Amino acid sequence: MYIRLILGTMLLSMGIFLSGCNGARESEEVAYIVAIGIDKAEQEGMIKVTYQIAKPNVEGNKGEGEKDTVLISNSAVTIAESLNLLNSTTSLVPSMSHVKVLVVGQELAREGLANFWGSLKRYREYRGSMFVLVAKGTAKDFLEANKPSFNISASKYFETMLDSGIEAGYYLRVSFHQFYIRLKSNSAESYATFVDISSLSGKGDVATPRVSGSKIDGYVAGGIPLQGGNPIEFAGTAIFNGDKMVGILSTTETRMMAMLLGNFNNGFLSMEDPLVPKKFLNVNLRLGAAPKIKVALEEGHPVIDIKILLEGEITNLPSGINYEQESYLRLLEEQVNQVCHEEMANMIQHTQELKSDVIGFGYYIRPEFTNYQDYLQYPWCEEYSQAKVNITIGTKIRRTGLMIRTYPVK
Amino acid sequence: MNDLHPGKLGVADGIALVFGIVMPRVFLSTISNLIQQDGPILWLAMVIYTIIPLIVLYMMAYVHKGITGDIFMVCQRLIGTTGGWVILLSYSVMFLSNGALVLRLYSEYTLLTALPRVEFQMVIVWYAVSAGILCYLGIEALTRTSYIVMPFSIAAIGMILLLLVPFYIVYNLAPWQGNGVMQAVQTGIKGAGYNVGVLALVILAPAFQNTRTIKKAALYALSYAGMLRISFILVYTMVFGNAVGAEKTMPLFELARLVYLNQYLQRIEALFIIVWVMFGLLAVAGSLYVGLYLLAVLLKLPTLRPIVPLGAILIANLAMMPPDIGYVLEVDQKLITLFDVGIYVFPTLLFIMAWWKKRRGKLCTSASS
Repeated sequence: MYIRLILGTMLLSMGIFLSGCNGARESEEVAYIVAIGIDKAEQEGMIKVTYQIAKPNVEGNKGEGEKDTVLISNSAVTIAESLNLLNSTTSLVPSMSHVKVLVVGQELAREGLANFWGSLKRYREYRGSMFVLVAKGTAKDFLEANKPSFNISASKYFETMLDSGIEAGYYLRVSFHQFYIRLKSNSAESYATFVDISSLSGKGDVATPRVSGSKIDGYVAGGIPLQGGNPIEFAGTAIFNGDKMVGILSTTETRMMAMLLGNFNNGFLSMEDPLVPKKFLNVNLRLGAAPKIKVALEEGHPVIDIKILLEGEITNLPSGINYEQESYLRLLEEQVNQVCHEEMANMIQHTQELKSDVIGFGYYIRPEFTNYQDYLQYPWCEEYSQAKVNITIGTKIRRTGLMIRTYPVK
Repeated sequence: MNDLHPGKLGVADGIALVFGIVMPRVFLSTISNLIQQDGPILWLAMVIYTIIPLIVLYMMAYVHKGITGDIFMVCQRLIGTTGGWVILLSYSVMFLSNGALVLRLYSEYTLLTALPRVEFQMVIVWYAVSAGILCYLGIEALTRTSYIVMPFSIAAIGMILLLLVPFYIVYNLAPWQGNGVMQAVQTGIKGAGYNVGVLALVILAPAFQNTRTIKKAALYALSYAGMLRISFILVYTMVFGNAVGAEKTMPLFELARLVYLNQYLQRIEALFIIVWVMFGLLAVAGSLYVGLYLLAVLLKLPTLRPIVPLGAILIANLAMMPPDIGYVLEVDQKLITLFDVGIYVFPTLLFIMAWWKKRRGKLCTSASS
């Protein structure tokens, strides 16, 4: 009887005293950091870290014009030291467990991220599900300029913004986990979402000119002809070789990359009308199947075979030509094939020139080796730049939208 | 039949006991060390790692078949009293050191993931007291608790593995030979010692209904544990690859942390901390029980209960001895040699002796306790 009483008392007291609440903090005592920006500091060997901190009492019921976050920057040798310094300037205890995005300034990204990236993965408050962005200017300026047009919290803004990237394929969501495993892998190079601040002047800056048959130019963030709204632009992809950023892919290149990664959900393609090139037509495309990629070794050199199946729906036909008819439809499909083929070939060539296999073709060559050590010794990065690439695009226009024929405008 | 040998444990109890002792290493750093050694073929090592203990268990069941009585009586009949003392003391040391090691590792990881501000000693004491209570309540309470927890744990781990489908990179499993087939076979053979827990079934044989129950329980427990471990290894390799996979301190926790389906389904690892804490507790309690049981048999104690608090204090102190986590992991890798003796040397010796004596017709059953 006594032993049961003792055991019961012990279990009860353990439940009370060891439930973990003794280490708990009220949310108003914690500075929840939503975004961290990292830039090169003016002082040699130091970094400038900018923290976007959520105001707990405002989050979720923000009034008109009221800011729901605070920006604080400091310079330090490491991010950990910067956090110590942050603690000296705020009464709240900084917490990184809710960080949504890591923004890195382009200058620092080009110098290399290895020195501080490792520490982020080791400390438990940082998560692999944070997203990685590279800002064209500085991360600090980017975070300062970010003023979401709609009444949503900063964390929700970043999350929904990055979620919606798949709707056009013009920028890709990259988690810290994805970025990090590529840093350590011989099979692929890292990439990150490219962001910048628009001048809102309405003037664009074309990064990659349109290919023949297409009506679309490629932009990178900061170059989109934009007026009004949030000046922040998410467009294009920062690509890396090792831990150093080596280049930027434009919106059209990023879309091709999305197709090859199997992440292309859907997006409009505006092309020249095959029979009346002055006119345009729109097709809403999506991947019909996962991309089929094979990488074989021929005399020690890689040959990459790519097969992409696209499915589309006609969304605009101003010329009035009845492309809905089977015989004309083939012309349309050919036009899509030709535009996508050229855009994809250009994109791959761009990455080959930069020796940055962001698609991860290196993964597909792994079955060519039987032993892991042999694979590690194969200089994939060098070989990729010389690889022969065969692209086959097949398009099937499945639907013609809400119209089955088009009458020309009188 | 007494406190030590209820003779009522069935297949489900056996499965739960073995599963509870052998599974928790999946949550610890063992996998990270092994993936560094073997590369993408680690799954093969896991297959071997599962089959060998099963063969050993069947060998021990054969040994037990001809001789009734507790493990000490069996050893005594086959290799004499001194030999029996050596074997039982060795197994006791193995189970207690395994308990202490698992206790330390789980305490460290509890501090690392869930309670960073709590004192280390407090966590150790909490684990040791809880394991002690489980042991005190007896083998039936222990196995049945484990059996209740088991399906939820399997379902939870299975769910994590499925939720990570978007992160699978199947090509991480190539080159299929990894660092060499022979290397994987070696790892499998060498690592089989980590499954020494399966011998708990033979050690506690009088507590079970019969030999068939033990064999069946071992088959199910090792099959479940093996399937779960192999699936886990495959997913872990696909998600992290070789290099990053070898970096992780807590493989399962890292996988759970990665789950991100959308804005609403993420950050689920907090739920899984409970699962592995329960696993850890059961593993420590199971190892402590078997270690103390062997001492009780050797000292001919009628019951285990009076030595449970001493045992709990002993493993808690042992667990607190290593100065840092690096040293603990080093000890863990060294202990495998001791566990290998337990899984290969003693069972083989006993099997050969039993076979030889049976062949010469010298074996007769002794009185059952």
